Amino acid sequence: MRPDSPSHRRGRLARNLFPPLSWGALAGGLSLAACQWLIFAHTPLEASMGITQKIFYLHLPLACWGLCSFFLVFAAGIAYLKTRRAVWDTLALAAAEVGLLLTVLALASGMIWARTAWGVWWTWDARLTTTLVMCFVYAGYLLIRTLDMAPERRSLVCAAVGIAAFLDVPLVFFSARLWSYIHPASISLAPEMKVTVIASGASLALLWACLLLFRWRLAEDERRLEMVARKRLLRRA
Amino acid sequence: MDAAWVLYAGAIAWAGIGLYLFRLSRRQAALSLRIRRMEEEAENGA
Repeated sequence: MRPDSPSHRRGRLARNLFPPLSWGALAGGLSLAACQWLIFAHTPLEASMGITQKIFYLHLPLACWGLCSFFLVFAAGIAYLKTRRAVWDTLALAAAEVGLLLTVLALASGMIWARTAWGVWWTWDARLTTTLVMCFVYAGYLLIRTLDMAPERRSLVCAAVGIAAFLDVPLVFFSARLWSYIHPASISLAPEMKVTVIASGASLALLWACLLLFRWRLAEDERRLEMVARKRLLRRA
Repeated sequence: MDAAWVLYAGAIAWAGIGLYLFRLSRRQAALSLRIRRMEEEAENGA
């Protein structure tokens, strides 16, 4: 194998990328564990909601990184349409899966909050409704990816759907301001609370990035394995 | 503090997730390396 061959370059990239990625995931998990001390011991107990308010320190970062994932689906879709490189298609797949996971967790944590703050598990507030619609849209996007189609055609369709699906994301972001009902549009926080929110957000960002890169690498490996299998079949034929 | 168990349970859960992802990433790295070798074999054989 020549040192400048594509395989050699890919191998070098994998070797360079994986050790920091492994340690990054471990650091993300441990820093989130440390954030539990900030959440439960450092920040004061909120007067009206009590202990349930602590969910906020995870709910906000989950929702933020969920929306960032969907932005990546959108950006990767545009990149795929411009370059037609499969690597952007696999990035969109990874971002959609991680985004859906985080958004579902944000919805679930929000429901626990709502039960204490508003007395109901669910209400058809604009923020809640648009977020639920967004979940369905991206679940549909992932379903489309499982359809039996030619790989290039499926990537093309998914890129178009991923771009169109992003229309709901700004709607989610601005919904609490546009149609103010029960979900707060902004919250004033004590200095200790601000520090905790920033620390939780940064720790979750690390974990989010590692999870996204893992899933991306896995999707890339699957694609490469499929290509190797195809080459072997062609050689035998 | 009566919510201390939530603190410890949360900390253990997050540390567990981090450790699991760490191990997963190591295994994935090994798998990637094997796929790369298979690619090289396929390239050399073609």
